Amino acid sequence: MKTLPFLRRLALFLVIPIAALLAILFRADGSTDEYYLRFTTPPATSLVLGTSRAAQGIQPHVLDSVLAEAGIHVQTMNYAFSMGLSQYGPTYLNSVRKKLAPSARNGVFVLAVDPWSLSATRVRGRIEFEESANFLAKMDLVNMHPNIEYLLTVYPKPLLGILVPDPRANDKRLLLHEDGWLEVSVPMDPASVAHRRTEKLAEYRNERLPNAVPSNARIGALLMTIDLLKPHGRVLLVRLPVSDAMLEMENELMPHFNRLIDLIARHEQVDQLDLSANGDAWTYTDLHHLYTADGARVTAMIARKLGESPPAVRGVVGHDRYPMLLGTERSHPAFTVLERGSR
Amino acid sequence: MLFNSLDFAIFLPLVFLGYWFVFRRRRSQNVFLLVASYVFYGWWDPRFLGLIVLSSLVDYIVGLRLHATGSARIRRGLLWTSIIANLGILGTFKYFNFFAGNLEGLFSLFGRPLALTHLDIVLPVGISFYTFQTMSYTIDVYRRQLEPAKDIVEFFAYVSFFPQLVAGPIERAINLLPQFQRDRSFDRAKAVDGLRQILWGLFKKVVIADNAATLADPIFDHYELHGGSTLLFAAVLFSFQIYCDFSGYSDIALGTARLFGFDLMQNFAFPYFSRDIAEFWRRWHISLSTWFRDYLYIPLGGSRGGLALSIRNTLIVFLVSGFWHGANWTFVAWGALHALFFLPLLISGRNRRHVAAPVGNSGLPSARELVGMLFTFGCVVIAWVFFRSANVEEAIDLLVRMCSPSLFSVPDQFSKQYITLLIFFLVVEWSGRHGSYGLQHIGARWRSWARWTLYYGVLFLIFRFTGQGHEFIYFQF
Repeated sequence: MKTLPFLRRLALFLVIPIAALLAILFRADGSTDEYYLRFTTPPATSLVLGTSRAAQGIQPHVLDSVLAEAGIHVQTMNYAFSMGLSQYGPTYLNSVRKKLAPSARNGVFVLAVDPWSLSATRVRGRIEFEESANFLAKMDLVNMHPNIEYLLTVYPKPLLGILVPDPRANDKRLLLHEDGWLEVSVPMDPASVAHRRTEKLAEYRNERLPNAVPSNARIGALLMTIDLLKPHGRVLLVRLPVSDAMLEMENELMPHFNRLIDLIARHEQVDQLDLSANGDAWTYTDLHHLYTADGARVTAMIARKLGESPPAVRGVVGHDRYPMLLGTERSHPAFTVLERGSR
Repeated sequence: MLFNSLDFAIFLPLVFLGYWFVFRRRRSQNVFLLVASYVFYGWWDPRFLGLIVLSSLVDYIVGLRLHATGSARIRRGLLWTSIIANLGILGTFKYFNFFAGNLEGLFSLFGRPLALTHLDIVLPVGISFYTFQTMSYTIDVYRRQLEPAKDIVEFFAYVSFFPQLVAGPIERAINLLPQFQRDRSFDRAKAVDGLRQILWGLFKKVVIADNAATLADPIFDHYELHGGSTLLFAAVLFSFQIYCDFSGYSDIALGTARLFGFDLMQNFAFPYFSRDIAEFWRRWHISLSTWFRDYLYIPLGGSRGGLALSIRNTLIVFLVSGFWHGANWTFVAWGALHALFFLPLLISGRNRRHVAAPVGNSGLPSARELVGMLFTFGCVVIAWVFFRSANVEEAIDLLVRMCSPSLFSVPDQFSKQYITLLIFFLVVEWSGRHGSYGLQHIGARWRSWARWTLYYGVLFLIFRFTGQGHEFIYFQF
């Protein structure tokens, strides 16, 4: 058979590339990018969900240690990503489903909520859910180490850069920890902070706010996410602190946001924690991302809330009682998908 | 399934091993290839497998019936059955909304608004390719140039052969079907050549095409913010993107087919080294150009009816060829522009001046040849602007902005690294222009360690400079 010598020679040729590939795969770590490590850990029994605010602001190691002091022993994974990727919706929900350990019991689940994470974007007159075309929607394997699927099909930069980092790209500002916390180290002198703050403000005021539309589909997805997590432990809805300027825009976007979250929390019989008051008392790296030290303080507050006794069963509100849930986009495909789901 | 995906990297070795080690008889190999091809296609969306089966079934039955009957009337009816079925599928999925939209526009122009139904459907990947492939089979059987396939597996495997199913080459039954009908034995030299072609195709796709897209897309998306020289740079980038994307796919298709003992037709022959537009069209997307020549241009009368008829037929072929690419006036404009470039050569009888490979065996092109190549490339680049733009108005606006005084300024977007990679690519292509693909003969006489070093070098470049993944452009056609 002439095929065997061919395969032997091919295997010999491939030894070096495969060895290089393996070296790359095993070299990838928290400095590779701001997402990779989250897809390499085992299925999680406790989770932090949300967008970049939660990714940077909620530190699982702080959460776990404060809870441990209260006698609650959990190992939390921060599975929050960013706007355009992990706003509540079918894409994120499916990914959370894959990340959640089916056997999880008595876990804690911190769901960071804000008007942006419950809004869709209007692009040329059409309502769009950006994340549906993003990699999170396509990823099947989220608990694999090394995560070949991510590195070979999602990772946007040349693979060799993982093994031999480009000396010109001296960007050490982002470090993703194994527990999913994204540590951001940027200059915190007043001028740098002011510069980033101005840029963010312009971005949100001029680009995001005019095109953001509160979304029933996203609210529905949040409800489904809570339903998914409740059997596995305690769920807490958290509104993280933001600067007053950001809060002002959020109030423009969804004036009744706190009421909505309150209704959801009552209906779902989960706790909530609103930390949006006195926003300017906290330190941010820009307009709304908490600085490391304050992130730890906020995380400790969240942990203490979780450490309290479970919420009492209060008046249950039916879904038809959400006044701001009924709106314009019930017919949107994303919402149809949700309605076809388990709910 | 994409050729540059993890799925395919697992799929191909499995199919290769099954094909040569498990299913060693011809018929079982054909069945295995058919199943593998359907898995390959169904990986994207299994619902659309039904269309391939339907198209294959219609042409299989029509082929047999054509052979069985001698009646000219019935034969014509059968031929039209196949054409209507295939073009019906194509028209519904690809062109329905285009025609409905244009009809509505036309009626509102005359003050009679019309509201037609628009279909909310996805364009099935590769539909333009496999419908043309099955149609060519039926037409060849009708013309008695080909015996119909008796074995349904052979025919279905021919239509759906996974290396060329979704983006060609559009294989003629005369070439490919007999290869399913004879025993195949493993040919080491062919397999090695296939792997080399896959390697070069991957380089073209993931290094040259994808990086060009990353640079060109933002410029095209906000073209109004850039000066003429930057727009020209983007248009040149897109020219290399589309060439390397499509010919890279073809290289991987041809190389993959060779691993299984099949020879597919060459689809590209270094078109950017063409010295005039006529030569370009003999070197670009050869399987489609020859399809239109054999099944449209010649039946229309070709060049037999004098110059006027020849001009008319050429114009029709270019317009239809443009329209084949997509339901948008930009593609029609692209075809019309190429016709405009081509017709002067046809009228002056100079359309067959350059038939052989460029520049014999001498190292570099002569000044005259170089001018011809640059002029031809310039024409092609202008036409690609229409191909890339969202609509004709945008393309014209972009070209007007390009031809402004800022054309002579320094581009505000530039990448030395990409230009270096492009130069490497062009040097390899130029050195290999007498072969079927750039890398084919380079290092053929070297010692194996030197040759391996070259291939490792190309692999290194792929790992080092892989661009952001983009789908193959021709999937949408």
